[in-house]
Parts: sequence; structure tokens; C-alpha cells
Amino acid sequence: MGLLAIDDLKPGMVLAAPVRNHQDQLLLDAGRKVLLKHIQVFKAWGIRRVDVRPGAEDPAAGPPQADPPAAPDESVRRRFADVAGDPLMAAIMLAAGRQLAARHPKTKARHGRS
Amino acid sequence: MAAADFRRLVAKVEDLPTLPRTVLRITELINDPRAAAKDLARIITDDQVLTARLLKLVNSSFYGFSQKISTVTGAIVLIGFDAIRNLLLTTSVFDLFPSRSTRSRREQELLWDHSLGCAVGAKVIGSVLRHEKLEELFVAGLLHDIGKIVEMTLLPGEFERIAAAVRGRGLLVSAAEAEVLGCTHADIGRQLAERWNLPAKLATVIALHHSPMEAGPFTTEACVVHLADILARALSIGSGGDEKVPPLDHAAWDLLRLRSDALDDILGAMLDEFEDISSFLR
Repeated sequence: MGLLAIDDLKPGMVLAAPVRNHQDQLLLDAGRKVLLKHIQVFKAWGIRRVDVRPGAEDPAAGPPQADPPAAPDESVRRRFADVAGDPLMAAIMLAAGRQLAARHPKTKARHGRS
Repeated sequence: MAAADFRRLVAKVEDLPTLPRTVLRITELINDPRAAAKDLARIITDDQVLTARLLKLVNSSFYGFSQKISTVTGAIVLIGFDAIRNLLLTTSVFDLFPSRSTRSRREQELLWDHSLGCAVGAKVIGSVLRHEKLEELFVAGLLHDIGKIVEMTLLPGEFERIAAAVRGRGLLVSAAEAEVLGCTHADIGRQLAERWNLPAKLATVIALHHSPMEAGPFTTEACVVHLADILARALSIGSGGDEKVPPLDHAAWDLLRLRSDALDDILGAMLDEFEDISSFLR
């Protein structure tokens, strides 16, 4: 199947190449079956395309998320570099990114003095 | 850690400041079953600064009372003895550690903001969980990193080596502390809490906020502060000394039985309450 846009990636597909974030940290290795939580992690890290193996998706794995979340600001993502592949941490990162962006759309890391 | 280093560290902890006399007297009074609100009010009103802080805080949005509270006795009756002790502890603790340089003052301000962010987070999470003692969670969040203040002010050389390892090698503070000191701010915080005779629950949460599932009868409170610490870092409220968000203990998350779709509400409330309360506690 080759390179696929993240919005077309479906649970049950199998990766042909590892998926890494912009800091080259491994999010999911080649040969792993993609689950819904992985798609959420990829979107949280702003992944646009993934390389998948040809073959049918697993219909029992469920539909992908209807509204793809926007990747949070770089300053937020940088803080989560050590916990890149954890779906729960990805959920925290996305929620923090949304809340900061909603309050300070121009200067997203208002409290970012660390 | 070498034995000599450990002895030196323990000796430093012996040098730690004691709590202000007023707070000690109040703690004693609160433990006295015969004590009445007017006895407590008399001690507080002897101290103008404490009186002003208490009245400001009980009239802030932190409590959200509709009517204005103008007397110390009224405040005590409304929020209770334990809450008063917690508030006074809160407002006194950070005054005990004088800054020695502009740079350490800046670091202390960032740590204060992080601590306050964690305190607000613990209170917000406690509200979602319908926890009965929100002030207790607030104070535990505020004091969870008190060991770092000890490092900054009493172990400045070691603290600088820790900061250099965090900056240069991207370590989490806890890992750098383990290298330099052989123990972490959580261990130092526990020693301080014991020296101050703080309640066992508070000492345990301070000691185990990075490994909350080991906190025995206080596991829920330790899990709340563990999560609040991570959420405050996620929002970059102040700084705990490094820029990274450490991993959340999944067992702690499962124990709290929170849903991930509650995160937006919790984080939003944290930002709102942090803005509200930070001006009252400075």
C-alpha cells in the first residue's frame, strides 16, 4: 500500500516502516498492527504520513477517530519528548495544548518559563 | 552516596529552619480537643501579617463564599481548624528560605509557581473525585517539592551540579539528584516534614509523589499529587527544575478512575484557578 495520509490510516493496518516523531523517537515499530490509540499518538505528534503494508485492514478494530486533533504547539510537544509513545501522555499533551492555545492563541506558552 | 556526604546532608537538614512560632502554637492548639475558635483567633490576630493573609484568602475565589468575611473568628468558623492550619502552613513555608542571589530568587519563584500549579491541580482533581479534604490536597501539592527548596538554599554547590546535569545531559531532576546527592528532593522533603512534625499523610505524599502506589494508606492522595505535578508541568506553570514531563504512573491513573476526556476540564480549571490564587499567596 505504501505511504498513506494519516487521515486515511485505519486501525488494523500494519506498518511497513517505523513511525518516529520529529525528534527521531520511535512511536511504533515496523510490523506492528496499528490500533486506534496509536493513530491518536501519531496525530498528537503531528505525523502526516505513514508507510503501511499492503493488505486488508482489520474491521473488528473499530473506526478511526472522526475529528482528528490538531498537533499542539512545538513548545508543548518538546516537554513530552521522553514519553512519546504513551497514549495516555499523548492525551495529556493534546489537552494541555488545546487549553493553552485557547487562552493564549498568540503566545501559547504563556507560563513557559522553564 | 558516600557515608561522609550523607552525614553532611543530614547535618544540613538539622540546620533547616523551624516553623514560625505562631504556626507551631496553632498546630498545638488544633490538636487540643478543648480549644475553641476564639482561642485560635486570639493567636492569629496577634500576628498582623497572618491575619491579613487569612482574610484575603478566605475572601478569594478559592473559597467562593458569597458574603464578605471580615473577622478571623468568622473565617475559622466557616472553614474549620484544619483548613486554617493548612493555610497558615502554606503562607509561611516559603518565607523560611531566603534567596541568596538574583538567580536563585528567580529559580525559587519558578518553583513556587510550579508548586502552586501542582497545589491547584491537586485541588481540582480532588473536586472531580469528590475528595473530602481539598485543603489537604492543596497543601500536599504546594509542599511536594519542598526538598528542592532545601537543595537551592542549603546545598547550593550540589544544586548547581544537578542543574548542570539537567541542562547538559537532558536528565530529569530526580535522576540528576540521584547522581549528585545519592538521594532525591523527595527524600529530603520527607526529612524536613518529619523535622517539622507535619502529619504522616503529608510527609508520605511529599516522599512518594514520584512513586505514589507505594504510599500505603495515603495512596489516593499521593496519586492525586503525582498527577497534579505532571499536569502542572504539561501546562508549563512555573518550573520544577527541568523542562520535561515525566511519565505518569498508569496504576495511579487507573486508581483515580478518571477518564481521559475529563483532562480538558481539569487543565482548564487549573489555569483559571492558578491565575486567581497566585496573587493571594504572594
